[in-house]
Amino acid sequence: MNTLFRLENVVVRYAGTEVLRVEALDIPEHSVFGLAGHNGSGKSTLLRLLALLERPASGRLLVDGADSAGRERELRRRVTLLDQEPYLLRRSVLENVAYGLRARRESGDLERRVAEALEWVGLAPGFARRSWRELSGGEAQRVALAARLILRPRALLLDEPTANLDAESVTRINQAALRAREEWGTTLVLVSHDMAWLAEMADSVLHLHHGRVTGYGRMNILRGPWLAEPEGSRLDLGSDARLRAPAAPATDAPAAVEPGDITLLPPDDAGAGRFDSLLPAMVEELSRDRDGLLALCRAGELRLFTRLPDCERVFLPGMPVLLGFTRQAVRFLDVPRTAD
Amino acid sequence: MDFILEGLVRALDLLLSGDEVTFSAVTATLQSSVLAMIAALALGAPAGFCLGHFEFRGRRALRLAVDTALSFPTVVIGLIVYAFLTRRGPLGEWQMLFTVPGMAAGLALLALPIVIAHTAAGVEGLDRRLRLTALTLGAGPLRLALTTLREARFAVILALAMAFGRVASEVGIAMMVGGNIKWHTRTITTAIALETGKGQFAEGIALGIVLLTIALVVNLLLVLLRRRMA
Repeated sequence: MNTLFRLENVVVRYAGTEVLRVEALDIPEHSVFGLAGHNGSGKSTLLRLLALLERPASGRLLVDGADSAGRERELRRRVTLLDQEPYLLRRSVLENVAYGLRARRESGDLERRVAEALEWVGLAPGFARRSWRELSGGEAQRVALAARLILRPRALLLDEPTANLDAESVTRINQAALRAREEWGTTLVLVSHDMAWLAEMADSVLHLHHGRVTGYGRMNILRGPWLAEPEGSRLDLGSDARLRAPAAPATDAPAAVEPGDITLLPPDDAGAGRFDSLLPAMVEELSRDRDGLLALCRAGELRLFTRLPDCERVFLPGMPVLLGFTRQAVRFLDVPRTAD
Repeated sequence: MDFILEGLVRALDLLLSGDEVTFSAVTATLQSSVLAMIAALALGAPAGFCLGHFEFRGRRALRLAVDTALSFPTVVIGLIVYAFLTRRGPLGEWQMLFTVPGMAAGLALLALPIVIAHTAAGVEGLDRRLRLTALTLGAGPLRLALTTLREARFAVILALAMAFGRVASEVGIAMMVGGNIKWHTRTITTAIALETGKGQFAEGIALGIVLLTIALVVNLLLVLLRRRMA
């Protein structure tokens, strides 16, 4: 697979403060690439960089192998971004969806193309006549997506596209984005807090924390406060549930746990004593990625991905379970702090 | 009290009988105002967009200057324009003094800061996501500017309504630059001043009613335009 986006030693600064540093990153063509991280982790900044709406303070962004510097306007005709709260122009739905085509001076057969784009996101052709002010939040998001899809982009960048939306809009947006990838080979880059949704949609996930890459894949990120104890440190999760870790470099140091390093056990498992930490949890959702099945479990305030064991035991959503950790499964991340 | 009622009756009579002097003043008012508004819109809307959209050195000082110009005394504007257009002035050879275009130039100077300031405020008040949306959908700089102005259209329409109100009701510039010449540059406001000075209150009130009617019609048209564009 060819590389569509390549970042080389990219640094983004706002008012002299570093907000993002990515030493190397490749996003393959036709892939579904996820960006995960908490607020201020730099994922939206990275998305705007990929959308050619920001320029790195240093380093290079290559698109199709060529440096993007000085070609932003031309490249923005192939790459488009949909924000979490998209802005609709104070015009009709038709004018909104057709805006990008008009900007490209492609005004032929406009009404049919708009109707087709609206159909992609599950809206009837009659919607084109509506005013921007007559749309619900979900409809506005779908109209905004139609305005991007009508351009048949090579890359569609979606920033929290399904946050706070009704179930039907979420389904329609997911279907439309995946259909674009299937029919036109559109590369999808998705930003979300929703790890389960990312796990479902993305081929691979990049984790960011305080503007730095902390890992790839279905990583669980843990935050402090870490409390020191003789053998290392621990995180108190209430009700005597404790997650034991090696010595923490700082009380609020972020740590990562690979889903494969968490063992899912039934509550009555006799071999539970071999773990340093056992967290009572509940299976919330099951999902699948390239490497197999994953269970998203809630342990108190924590939501953790675990890889489902290759055994006959069945774990279903709603089942109480135990999550077993060794102390070494918790890896502290060497992340220098940057401003958000 | 009688002279006011008398004035109202006389006003109706002047208007319904199609009095030529009255309609000459109405025509001069509309011509000078419309010309001034066209010039103010053509120069003020792009200038207001630049002032509201771009960050540049001296922007705040320029904004302050434009806001200060909102309260510039009209007589002073009249004086400056007169000085430029008089035969000895730098633009004397254009022979625009005591003409409708000359009056329009002065009135445009009055309207310009209103259009610039309100357009700039409208553009500044727009959602910052507008710019990112237009760019990510492939807009170039010109389309981005036109889209921004269109999104700020209510502010621009409001600016036009306010500017027209000031221009149509202005006396100082019309008197100094126009010269209040009957059949040529006598506007409604200068005619009101003249008639009142002569003790002809009825004519003054009649012209006042005409001016109010014009202002009402123009504002109604702008309200309709605003509704249509919503």
